[in-house]
Amino acid sequence: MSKLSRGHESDPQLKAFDRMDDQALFLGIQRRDSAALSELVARHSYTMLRLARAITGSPDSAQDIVQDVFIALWLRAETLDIVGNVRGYLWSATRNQARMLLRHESVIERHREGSIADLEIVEPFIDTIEQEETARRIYEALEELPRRCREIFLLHWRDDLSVPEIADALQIGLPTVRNQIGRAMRHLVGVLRQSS
Amino acid sequence: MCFCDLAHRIYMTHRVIDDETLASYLAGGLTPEESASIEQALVRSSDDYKVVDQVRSAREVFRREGRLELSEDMQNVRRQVESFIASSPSREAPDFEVRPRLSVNDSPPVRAGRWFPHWAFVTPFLVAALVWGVLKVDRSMVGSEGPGLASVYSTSNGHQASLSLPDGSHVILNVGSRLEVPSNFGMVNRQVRLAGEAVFTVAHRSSVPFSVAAGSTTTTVLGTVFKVRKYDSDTAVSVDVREGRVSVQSTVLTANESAIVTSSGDVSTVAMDLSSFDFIDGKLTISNLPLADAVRDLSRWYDADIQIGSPGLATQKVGGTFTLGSREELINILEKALGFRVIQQGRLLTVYE
Repeated sequence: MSKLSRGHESDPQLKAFDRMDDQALFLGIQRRDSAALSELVARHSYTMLRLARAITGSPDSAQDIVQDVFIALWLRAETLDIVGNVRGYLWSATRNQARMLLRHESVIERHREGSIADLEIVEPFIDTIEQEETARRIYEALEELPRRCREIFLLHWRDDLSVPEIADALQIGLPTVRNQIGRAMRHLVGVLRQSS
Repeated sequence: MCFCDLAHRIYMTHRVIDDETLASYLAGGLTPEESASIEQALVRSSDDYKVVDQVRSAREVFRREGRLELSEDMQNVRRQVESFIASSPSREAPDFEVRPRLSVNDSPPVRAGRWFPHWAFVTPFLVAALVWGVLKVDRSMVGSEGPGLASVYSTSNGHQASLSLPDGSHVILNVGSRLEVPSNFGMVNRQVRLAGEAVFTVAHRSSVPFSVAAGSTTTTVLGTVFKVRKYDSDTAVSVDVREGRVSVQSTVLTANESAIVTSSGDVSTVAMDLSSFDFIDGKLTISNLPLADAVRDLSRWYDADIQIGSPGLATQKVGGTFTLGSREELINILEKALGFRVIQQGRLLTVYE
């Protein structure tokens, strides 16, 4: 693999390290080390919140869900046997919890149509001028996309969820997820090409 | 747009890769072999590389911004999780909790990879307290009879609290009440002790009955919704059943039945008073009680000491529905709705004709 493929962040290596460390944190949690849990919360709550928001459409519910997942992890750590993929466990627990909540809520009120959340993209505030220009252009390009397409794309591109994870979380087909991501990316590439 | 760099310009090849392929590459939709060949092409095509670089650098910005946007939520989650853990006595004691000197939970931290008991024993007081309005639950740990140390939840007058017990059962504690939960509550033992009034929604667990001791009466259930009342000022224990079956001493009650157990242990069964569970909604219903009896409930409800000033008043019957509120509201009700005269000295209210 060429250097270029990894950009400046040497992704694959970082991820392997990450996984190993998560595992160590999980062992710490099994030994009732609350600092290990806090660290895991700091690492993963962001993506879990995004995922829970995308499913439930509610930032408040998302907080409750994510917090419940971590508390359950703490309570059940001794009986859990998570080998290798703590993040995967956390994500699927988040997703299940969010779906359970949705089912529960749908009994009370029919769920809003097109239930995925309004993952508003925040207008970026950036430190370097060059980055600012690019990010702003991409921000504007994303605004032009249909909401659902944008949300799926952001879950993947920004929040690092895999295609099957998104499909599973939002209960849509794999091809749909791929199509939406591809569509958004083609749009971005087109916009960037135009401006250079 | 590197026109400044002549050397670069010479080797620059415009758009070696078409948009479609480049987008697929960026979206991670290519096979490793395809990606590798794209990466080789990128080395030769600065225009294409620029797009790739821009997308990546923008991603960093979006990730950073996304974190900023969610930072408050993330902190909330962290706070909640940490405070939950702190409320478990197997960790450092939180400041509102007095740790018992001798506790099974004081055993040294378990070493890596060794045994660890089921969580119910490790964290016996995982009780999330939900408190509504200005109400508060005072939690303290005290020694109790028997080997296990108990966790005690108490409400002061005028305050109610809602608790979840580690087995999934739910308790709504009425004003001026006290619930003792033993340290080994959970998998093998579900016995609590109540002074005051509480509604229990018991999680079903066929092997472990849930029992409430109040006064000298024990009420046992497997899974149901029922209420037990025994304030110190009550001469009898009353048990009201809303759902399921409950056994009181040797008498079995079903839904909408009540049992009154006198201090001598006699059990009588009556139809349940429909207002019996009203306190859950913050309503106290008094139906035609002598004022002397009613003031006991009212004093807990409004956190006031109530005296009857006129001798003839004690036997006068009163009734009504009272919502939780301040002492001033109580005075208002006594004066305007019930037509009494009230003289207030601090928390002491004296009622006259």
